[in-house]
Amino acid sequence: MTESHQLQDDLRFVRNAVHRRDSSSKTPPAIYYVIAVYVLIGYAMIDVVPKYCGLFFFIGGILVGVIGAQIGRRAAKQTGEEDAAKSRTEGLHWGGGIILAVISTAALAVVMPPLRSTLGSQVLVVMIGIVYFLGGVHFERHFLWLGPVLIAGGVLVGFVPHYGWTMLGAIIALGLVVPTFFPARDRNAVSSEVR
Amino acid sequence: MTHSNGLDKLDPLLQHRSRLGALVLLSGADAMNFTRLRELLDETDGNLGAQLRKLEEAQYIDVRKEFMDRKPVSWYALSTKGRQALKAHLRALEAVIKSAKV
Repeated sequence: MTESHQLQDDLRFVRNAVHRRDSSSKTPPAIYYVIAVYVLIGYAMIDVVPKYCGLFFFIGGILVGVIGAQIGRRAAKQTGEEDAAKSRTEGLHWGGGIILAVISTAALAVVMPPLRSTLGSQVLVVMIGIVYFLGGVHFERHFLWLGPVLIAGGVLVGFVPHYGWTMLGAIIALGLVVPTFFPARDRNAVSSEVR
Repeated sequence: MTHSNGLDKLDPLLQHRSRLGALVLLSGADAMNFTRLRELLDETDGNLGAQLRKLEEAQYIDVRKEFMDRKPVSWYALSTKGRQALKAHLRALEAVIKSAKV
């Protein structure tokens, strides 16, 4: 084998190793289960006990963040890979994105009184839907469709007379949980595993 | 082909594909344990262990030992020296590829 052929062969080997890493780096399903429970309970509370749902989302949101970080750390140990930069990026996207959505909605409600009602929750859900969609662009593909579902749900829930929020919560919870049972299709798996 | 100039700048230690692969993988994470590197590089325990030892001796990687479920686990991280060596090696590889295209 000539030197250039040897180099090509080595680069293929490295490329395949990097590809294996990229295709096996996924968010632990347990994080999605925790968020699904949080969303399901929180959205149902909007229908049943709207007075307490704000408090639930606030305290629950902090708890979900702490539990999610703990699950992520444990999963990193089990996978055998520590990547603080990736964790920071994901934390900034989800935590920062949702906090900004809440602040934006609250700021809008100051100057637009109609947003101080359930309409404000609808606007917030639409904004969170955008955060979900961008999560699909950068991290996990199934958020690409879950984001638009949340945006559409945030608009349509205003037209559902009874238990619309509970139904939306159930749809989002299913959207979070179901994809974890099906391994993501990797369209590049065959073509990029260069031989 | 006239890429001999680029070839002589390649780091001899990184001309072994497992060692190069390990450094490239470690450059994309804070640390990886032995099992993870073995899976990704598709190597045997013995071969990977020997190659990582050479990288460790050259101070290209730092090693820390931990116990998980009462079993010892070795975690590897790219050192500053290793990162510089990898960058230099990749630059040399790029030069080789460019000269081969001419």
